[in-house]
Amino acid sequence: MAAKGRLAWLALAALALVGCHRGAYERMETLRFDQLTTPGTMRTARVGDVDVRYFEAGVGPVVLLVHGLGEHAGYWNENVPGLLEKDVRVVAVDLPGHGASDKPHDAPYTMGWHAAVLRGLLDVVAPDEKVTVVGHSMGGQIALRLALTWPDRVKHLVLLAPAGIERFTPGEGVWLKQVSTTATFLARSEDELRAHYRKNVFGAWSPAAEHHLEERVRLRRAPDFRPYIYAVVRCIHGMIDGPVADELPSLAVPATVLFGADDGLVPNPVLHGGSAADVAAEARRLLPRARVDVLPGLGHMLQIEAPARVNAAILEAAR
Amino acid sequence: MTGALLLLAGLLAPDATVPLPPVPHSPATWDLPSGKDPLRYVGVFFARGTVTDLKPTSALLDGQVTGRLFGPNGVTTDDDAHTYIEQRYLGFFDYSPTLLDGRATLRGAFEIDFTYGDLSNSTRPNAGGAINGDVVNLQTKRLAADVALTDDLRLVVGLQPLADSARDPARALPDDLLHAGGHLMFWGTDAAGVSLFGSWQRRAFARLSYFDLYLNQSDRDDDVELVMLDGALTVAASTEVGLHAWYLRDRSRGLGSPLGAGPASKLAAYNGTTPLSLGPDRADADLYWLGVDASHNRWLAGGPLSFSGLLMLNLGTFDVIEGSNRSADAPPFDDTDADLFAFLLNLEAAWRWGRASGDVLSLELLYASGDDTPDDRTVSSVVTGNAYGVPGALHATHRSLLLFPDSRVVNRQVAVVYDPGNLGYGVTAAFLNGSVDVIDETLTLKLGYALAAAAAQPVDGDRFIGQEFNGEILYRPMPFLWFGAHAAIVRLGTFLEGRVNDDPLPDGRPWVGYLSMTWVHF
Repeated sequence: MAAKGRLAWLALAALALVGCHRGAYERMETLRFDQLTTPGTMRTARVGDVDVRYFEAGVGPVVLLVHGLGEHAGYWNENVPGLLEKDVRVVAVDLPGHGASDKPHDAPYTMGWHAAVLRGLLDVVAPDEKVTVVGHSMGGQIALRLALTWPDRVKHLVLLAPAGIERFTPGEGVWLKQVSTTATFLARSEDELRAHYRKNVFGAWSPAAEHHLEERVRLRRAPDFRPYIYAVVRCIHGMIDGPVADELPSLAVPATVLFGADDGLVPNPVLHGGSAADVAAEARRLLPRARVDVLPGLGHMLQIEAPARVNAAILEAAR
Repeated sequence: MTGALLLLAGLLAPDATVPLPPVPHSPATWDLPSGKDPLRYVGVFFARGTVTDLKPTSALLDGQVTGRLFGPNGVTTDDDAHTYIEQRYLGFFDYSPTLLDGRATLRGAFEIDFTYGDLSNSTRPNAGGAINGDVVNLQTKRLAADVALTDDLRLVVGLQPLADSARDPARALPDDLLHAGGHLMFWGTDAAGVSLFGSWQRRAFARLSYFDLYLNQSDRDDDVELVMLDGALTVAASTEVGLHAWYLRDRSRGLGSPLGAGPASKLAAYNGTTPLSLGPDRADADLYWLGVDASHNRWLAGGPLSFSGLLMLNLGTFDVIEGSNRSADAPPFDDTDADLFAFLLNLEAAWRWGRASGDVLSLELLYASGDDTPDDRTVSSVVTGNAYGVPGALHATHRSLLLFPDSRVVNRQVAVVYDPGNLGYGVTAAFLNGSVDVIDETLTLKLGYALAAAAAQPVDGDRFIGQEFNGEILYRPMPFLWFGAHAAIVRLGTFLEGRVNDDPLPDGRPWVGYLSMTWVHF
């Protein structure tokens, strides 16, 4: 064989070898939901028919941390140490369908149901205390529902890039539910997830962001990954079907609302465009007594991107 | 230390139970939605109102012209402004019978082009008016059966999209076709054929396709056939490499479209593609393309930077055949075979400098080989689908409006450089585009610059073709609906002088402005 021919075959063979590439995290060992990095050892409360996992530590006024869609208690890892140093009692929950909590098939996954579960959890961890509820994204909408339904249990709301303030028309809601399928979420490759995380979810990429991407990819073959994706889709439906915006003027609980100026998810970039400042303006209109700030340079994951700033808001509310 | 103690105290607290209504469990599916609509539909409505100094002079085509500006299609410029309005509708429907659980899908698509008051797609006497709209102008764009042979392998039979990619164009995202594979610079249209598409874990793609581009007389060996073998592999995060090998067998000897087909046809001259000058004679062609491409973060989402590159070699031979209509004063028949050896290199880089999708700065460089004597039988510039279709390729990433072909058109698509073959001289070009979302995902302003020169030095002229300045405002008032205002002006170089047949090159600077509306619905 001529030298050129050998070179060509070598090049093809090399290409075939690199073609065996799979994503860096897809090649790693599968992660189980009970192996996710959390702020500390997780505990279990039986709320109704659901085992709810949560982290609890500290002494002082209770701060309940409620994560967003598809997330888990570990999305507060950057915040918990700083909060514990300031004499508060931190409770970080894995919402049903998320993290290591139960992922029941026939649960309603409505915002009201999630709020009821949190109310049940509060009856366990702080039965006689009004608590500060911190909700991120979907967790913000659940926190709002909790405060609207049981204002006597909530001392202060801290809402981080909350869902529920941006409105969706009936047609937009139907469309969002049509395109939010389990098949779509299940099929996402590592590259596609990385693209989504970098463009829409995190304002600035960081080791923490990379860690959450790794966890999400390595969960793909976890035994209860399909129930998790199912719960995520049901929660999307729950957010759409359980709007809170019209009820906000009647909210009796003080609130602090923070948005990242570079949020890639709020407002919905496909349906609405505009910026988080637009949603913040709506929040100011709906919650005239609330403190509403738009933080420059931050994306959707405020608590991870600026933990000190978020902790300051939480501690101010909790005291 | 205090934190550790608090953590320990938290760990020692007991678990507890509170009552809540029981949640029934059932063994039903974890899939949502559980019922899939067997019939799916996507429509694209596009309309534009244009003012330009381009002037069609062909009575035959009545203004609806594609191809090269100042070429034999008769489009030139003058001092007046000319206006026209036109619209297009594309409808795509997929039907997947429930009985087959999605293992087979009928893919159909139609196109309605409506041009207010003049011909529709050159089908005389089919001239209609906006007032009545009585114009028959329905075209079939897609009619194919898509059958899953296995979980990873699909067979597509019939009229289907033809693209220079390992991906099935009916399933691919636009960025996967525009910034990977052949970038649609070689093939980007529809054709009848058979394709086998493989997809493995969305990381490896392969296809083998056969297209019958022209079936002239079925009892003769006078077809144009295209065989395409492509592969694409993810080699690192967001990074893909592709290999391409295509073969085109052209026995049409110029038969096919009304203008013929292939480098030796009038169509090549109209579209400004690589020519083969044989006078009254014809050729049987065997053409090959071998290419490699690479792309990183082509969605511009996995990070702020994206890169893509394409290198395509084009080889082939033309077996010259004596024409049947040789006149007495024609030069003696020369049976010397013509050879093709050419290549094209395309490099793109983009930087998303802001958060929004429109906050992008991009640079694209293009080099397509050529030679200074395109009339001889040594062909040194690439052959693309534009030598066989109108258009047959769809280079769109340049975002130029006049210097290179604008992709937002209905039936009029004219550009100074319509094809990288560029009359056989090849092209060296650079495209710089910068945009900003004034309102995120809603209002985008864009400025662009394009520069082009021939790759080879013409014997009787200069290499500099021209430069274009363009601008665009896009406003999206609701999801998937855009209003646009677009404008461009070209400053011509002297390359075209001496290449405009017998007509002098106008002194004017070609310009165009138009308002557009695009609505995608599903």
